[in-house]
Order: sequence, then structure tokens, then C-alpha cells
Amino acid sequence: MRTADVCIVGGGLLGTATAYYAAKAGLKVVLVEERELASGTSGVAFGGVSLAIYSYSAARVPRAYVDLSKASLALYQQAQEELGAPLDFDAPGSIDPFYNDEDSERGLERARGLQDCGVPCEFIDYKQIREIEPAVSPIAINAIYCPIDAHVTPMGVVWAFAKAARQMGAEIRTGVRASSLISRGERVVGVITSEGEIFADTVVCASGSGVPALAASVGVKVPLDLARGQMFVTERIPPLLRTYVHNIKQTPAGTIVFGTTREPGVKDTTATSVEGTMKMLKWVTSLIPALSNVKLLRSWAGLRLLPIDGYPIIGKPDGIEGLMLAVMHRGVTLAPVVGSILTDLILQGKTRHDIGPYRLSRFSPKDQRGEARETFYGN
Amino acid sequence: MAIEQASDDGLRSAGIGRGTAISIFVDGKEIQAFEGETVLAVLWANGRHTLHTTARSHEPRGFFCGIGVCFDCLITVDGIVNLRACVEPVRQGMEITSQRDPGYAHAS
Repeated sequence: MRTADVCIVGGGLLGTATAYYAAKAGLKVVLVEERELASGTSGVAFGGVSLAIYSYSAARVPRAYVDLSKASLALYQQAQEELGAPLDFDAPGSIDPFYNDEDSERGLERARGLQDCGVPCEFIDYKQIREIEPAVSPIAINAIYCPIDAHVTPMGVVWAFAKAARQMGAEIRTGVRASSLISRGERVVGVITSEGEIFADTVVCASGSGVPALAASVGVKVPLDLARGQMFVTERIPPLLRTYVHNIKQTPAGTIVFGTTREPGVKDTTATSVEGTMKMLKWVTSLIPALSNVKLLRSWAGLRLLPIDGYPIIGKPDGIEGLMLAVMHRGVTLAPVVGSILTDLILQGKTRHDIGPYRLSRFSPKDQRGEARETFYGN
Repeated sequence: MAIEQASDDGLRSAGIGRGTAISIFVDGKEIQAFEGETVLAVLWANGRHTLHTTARSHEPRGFFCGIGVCFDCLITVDGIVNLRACVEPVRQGMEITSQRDPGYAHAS
């Protein structure tokens, strides 16, 4: 039997970021991961650390959400200094293009909302897009340009957080499956794993698509939707993109990484498809025509997660102690701030960040269910 | 095209045919190849195991999977970079250049 201050389930971005901040704060941390680090959504994600690009959210992005994203960007900058190269953190700015008047109107509204929240973004026309990113074709009639948006290599971030957490005493165990939570009355006191029980003052569920089933073992229902997303990488080409254009970026090596499809109701979540590939190639080459002659190297697929209203679920569910949840879309952007928030909640029972809107209790009982569903709400 | 005899027991195939002899050029040197072969097969048969060198550490690389998946057998053919030797068929007179990565930076 093992004991810890915190037992984290899930070795992705949210789990390892939490392990890092908790270990740094002096907590005794045990993290269990069923497969390998970054073997789920974190290992297949695009890697945007973005204040301006929102695939699924409404035109007007809530201030609390923008504030969390801003705080996370700042933590990435700090982590880059502390942890170094493996993060591949770079802040070249982003361009989120719009293709028709209706999209542009929503884009303008979003840009104004973001500006009200202090995000230094601009709503620009095609001529201005072209000045920043000459490779973009005129199918983009407008865009939001956010000069401080950044990107990372998610797998590198996971490994960097895990390594640093280990150095500060965290125990990180891969190949260990958490099957259910252990509760005593209204309190979670540990986790049953494939290698025995782990007792902890706090259990953090950060295992992505695995969160609903784990939380359901103590009667907590997490409404999470899932869909397949396919990603692609090309051969190395000469410098073409300075910023990242929606989910198209050029890596330091010169490859172009892009995605992603959004395919609900797909059972085989790690398989790629010809249909999805053709759709993405059509879009990417019409937006960046210079990519038409570039060779595709590989494609891969993984699960995209989305709590049903599009926003994160962070912190303690009502009515039960000793349990923290961290499940969300845009986990790459939010992982550092969520890790630091959970650490604050564990140590002090409060956080300076406004996570009120992101409590599980916002969902009505009829929305709550015990398993992840394979579809997406939103647009 | 010369075809080998089938085995007496009839269980084995009729053997592997060899196509018409052609010439290809590898880093300027003329080498004999046979139609139907891949570039990789010809280079391997001629003892050329290093196909390109990596971009950062300039390490030599040859073929790894041999079936078009790993992209570790990259070569330049007639000025087109990053082609996979293992799936590129030989053609009369083709010019193959062993590649320094990233290919685009060193292509002629």
C-alpha cells in the first residue's frame, strides 16, 4: 500500500503539469498512467497555446476563460525558462482565418471581446493577412491576428514536466491502470490500481477520456463528448510560415504540422481515414497553395475531448471531498494554469483564479452522465 | 525477360524475373540497373548503404523499413528531393543524388 498527499491519474499534459506544480510546492505526489506518458490526447495534439483561436466556443469568449488562457501562457514562458528546450515553446503569433461574411462577423465580435479582456489581437483583412503571412490564399477574407499566441510540442512538454516533477520527488508510474476510486462516506481516499491501492488526501482525475468512468465509480457524473481528430506532418520545407494559421504550423525542423478533423461517432479513435485525409488536404492546400507540391510524411489520429458546453471542468465536485477533476478541450493551452490551480486548491482550498464558471456543478442533473459520449455539441 | 524454371514439386513460384538492363546515374557515376527494381535495391546491390545524412547531426542514414513507411531512405532524383528510394522505381537515365538534409537546402 502506498500513500501520498496527491495521487494523480493520467500522464498527459494536465496530469504531469499538476505533478510538477504540486511537487514544486512540496507535496508528495504519485502519478499513475495506464500506458505511457502522453499516450492519449496529449501525444497527438496540435500544440497551440492560444488566446485567440477557439474551434468550438461561442463568438464571445468568456472573460474567465481568457484570463485562464493568459495566465497559462505566462506560466509556459516561465516553464520554458525553468525546463528549457524540450518544450519547443515559441510565440510567433497566430492567424485565425474566416472564409465568409457570417464567419467574419462572428470573428469580429470575438476579436472585440478578446480586446476587452486585454488580449492584444487585431481583426484584419486579406491584405493585412498577406503582409504577415504571404503564403495564405485569398479564400481567407478576414482573420484574427494575435501576435503573442504561442505553440509547443505537447509530447515534449509532458516529458519535461514529468522529468522535473520526478527530480522534485514525485513518483511517476507508467503501465499502472487506475480502475476505480476508493471512498469513505463522502470522501475519496484513494485509487484502486492494477498494482494495488494508493491512498492519498487528494485524488486528481486527469486521464482525459478515462475521467467519466473513474469519477462514476464514486457517483460523480462528468458530461464529456469525444470525437476523432486526424493530424498530418509533411516533409521538411524551406521557411514558409512565420505564425501558425489556425491549426497549421511549421516546426523548427521545417516540417508543416496541420490538422485536424473532427469526426464524431467513430469507434476506432486511433485509425486514420482516406476520407478525413482528403478533406484536410483539400482545405490546407486551398488555404496555403504552396503546400500543394509538398510531400505528406505521416498522419495520425486521436481523441478530442469536449465537456458538453465547450468549457473546462476544473476542481472539486460538489458533495464529495478529496477529489479534483481536470478535463477539458484545449488542454495544451490550459495545462500549466490548471496544474497550478489544483495545487493551490489542494494546499490552501482556494485559488486566485476565477474558476467559478468551470465547476462541474454548472451542469444540470439531466446533462450529467456516467460515460463519455462520442459526439460533439457546438460548432 | 529471363524467367527461371519452376521447381519440380510445383510448390515454389516460377522465380523472379529480371527486367531489361538500363543505366542510371548515382552521384554522377553510371550504374547498371534492371527495369522493375527499386532505386533502393540497385543502391543496395551496389554496396551503397548510406543514402542521406541528417540535418542536425549529419549522421548517415540508410533504409530502415524498406516498405515506404519510415522515410529514412530519402534520396534526390532528377532534382526532386525527399523521395523514398524503397518505393521509387528505376528509369533509364535517371540521376540520383545522395542527399544532405534538409534536402531542399542542398538541391541543385
